[in-house]
Amino acid sequence: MRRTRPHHDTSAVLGAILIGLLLTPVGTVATAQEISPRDILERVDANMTVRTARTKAQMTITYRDGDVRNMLYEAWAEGTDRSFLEFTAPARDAGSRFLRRGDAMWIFLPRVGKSVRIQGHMLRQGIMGSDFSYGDASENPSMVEDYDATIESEVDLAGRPTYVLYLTAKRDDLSYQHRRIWIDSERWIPLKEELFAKSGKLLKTATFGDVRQVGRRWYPFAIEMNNELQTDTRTTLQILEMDFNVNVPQEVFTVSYLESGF
Amino acid sequence: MLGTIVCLIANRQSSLVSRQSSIVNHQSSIVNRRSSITLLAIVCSSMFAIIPSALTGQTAARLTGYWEHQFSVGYRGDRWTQLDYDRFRADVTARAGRSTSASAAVVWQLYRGNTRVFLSDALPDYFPVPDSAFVELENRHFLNHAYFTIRPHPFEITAGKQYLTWGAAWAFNPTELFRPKDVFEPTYEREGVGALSVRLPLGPLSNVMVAYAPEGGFETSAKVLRARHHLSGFDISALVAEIHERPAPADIDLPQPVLEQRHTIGGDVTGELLGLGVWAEGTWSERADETWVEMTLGGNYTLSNGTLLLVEGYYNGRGEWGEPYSRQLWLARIYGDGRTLGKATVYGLATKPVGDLWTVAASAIANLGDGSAALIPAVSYAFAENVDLLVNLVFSIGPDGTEYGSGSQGGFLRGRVYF
Repeated sequence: MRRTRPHHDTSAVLGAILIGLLLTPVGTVATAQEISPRDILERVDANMTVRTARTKAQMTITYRDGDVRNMLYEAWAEGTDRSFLEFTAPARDAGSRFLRRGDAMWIFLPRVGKSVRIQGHMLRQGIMGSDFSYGDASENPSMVEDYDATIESEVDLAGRPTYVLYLTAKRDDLSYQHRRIWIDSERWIPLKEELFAKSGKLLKTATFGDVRQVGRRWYPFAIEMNNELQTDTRTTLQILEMDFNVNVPQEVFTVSYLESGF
Repeated sequence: MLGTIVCLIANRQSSLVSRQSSIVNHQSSIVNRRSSITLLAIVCSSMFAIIPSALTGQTAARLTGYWEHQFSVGYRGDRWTQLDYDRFRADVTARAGRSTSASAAVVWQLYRGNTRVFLSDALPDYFPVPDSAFVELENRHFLNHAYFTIRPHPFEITAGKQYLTWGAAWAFNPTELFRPKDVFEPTYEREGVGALSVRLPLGPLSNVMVAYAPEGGFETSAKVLRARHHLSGFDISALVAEIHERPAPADIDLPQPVLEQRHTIGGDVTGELLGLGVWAEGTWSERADETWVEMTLGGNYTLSNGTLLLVEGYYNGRGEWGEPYSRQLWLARIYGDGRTLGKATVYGLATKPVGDLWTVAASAIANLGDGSAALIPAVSYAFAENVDLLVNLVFSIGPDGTEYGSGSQGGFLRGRVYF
């Protein structure tokens, strides 16, 4: 296994949303008086600190009429800025691949045999028709770097004690200018997140669930994303398999690999 | 619609401008059917050869594909036409470890309806052609692609009919030397090119590629050198190529000339500027005594409601500023030798998800020289997880003799089921 700088594991590409978990001994409780918002975000970040990860996951899109679309993908991630994802089902989408390096992203279209750069405001488009956007997948996992935070309150959410943080973007080019996050104050994982436009309009709501302990960490294995601009649709991301600190060949995160798909 | 069909024919390498008798066509279709059965047997036996070994873990194979049915109608002058086709595609991909992969796809396509496309319907009145001149759409089967790739470090070598698709632009790709897009449907799949290519990665986002596509002897085969690099957030590529093309004949009754050598240098760049996705692509080419420049500039923007807006401008140095266009240009269009009649073309596209499973799109192509345009509204519906439906209309705007005004009004309904 290579030695790389610590980074967040995400649920591969899509997991930028998952960012922000923590790595604190289980059961540690801190009060708002003795912890700063930055400390909270850093603990959340630290919880996700692994070198590499391989993920198999199912993405389920549920439509207003109850119709459901299921997609399967396999993904690899290394560092905070490298991830590769390939859809394996359904047949319509099988073979579609994504590469992310930093804030740059490419998609490979198998029936055209060509990779296409996803850029500019195209990042707002939903991935494979889901409520997750390309921008969600390509944003910097470290919220400490991109947002100023304040603690709004401490509340119980689904039986768990949480800090409610309100984040304001430090830059104009971020997908979401404001975020409100409910963070489990014992497990240091987000349980809920609201994503806002600059105008203050609520764009999306993410709910984190299926929390499991992996070694000394806690990890949400499911995310439900609701696009508040599209009525009654939601996308659920369920991690089926996740391996930390696996050996990921460097060529995986290259354009050549994206286009040849070894 | 007829214009669409003709473009489609030209772009998809349906090469015959024929006056074959129905007897000949009938015999031809019988031969095609026999060949199809043979080809099917080969493909199926290949799949069975691959899949069991996949169970051992030595090779991972995947079989996918689709059935597609399309019914189209067109109206031009005082005549309605209809065309119906079935298309079946089977893809097999296999991986053997991390160093070898292979992929192939076979396509069968069966036509019904007005399969005889008269050139007089695709050409302006000032270019009279006899009614006996037509393109016959014949049932066909072909290997869309069939190649394998091996990776002897640090190289990546691909041999076989492969995708050599280049360029950053959406609709008009000057650097697309082998399989130009159908501008009426730029995202539709295209065939591969029989070639040997060697790629040398020079970093995660950079590489150099050499491709050699045999055609006749060594002198008439295509040679391409292409380099790609990622710099300051932009993807940049450059290519130098020598290819050989068969120009359109000087007149409809004349045979197509022999291959002519063409040299092209060009490149493209794509990235983000002020929040916009932007791209530029251009080439300089020379063939025989002719030299010309092609250039595309474009950008896109997505509104917060998911609406994608895309605009692209294309300059074609081989085109003319307005009608009447020369016979040579019209014939070049029919034979797929050249992308537009006009020098300056603007392409626009807007797509928006409507409801959960519906997407509405509208594209427009306008010739700035003669003022003609084609409007192409479309609605797609994801009927089920692996089922897509698409309704696509084409409205030709402009008088007869203009580039897009000479097309027909029409549209198609297409269904596709994936497996």
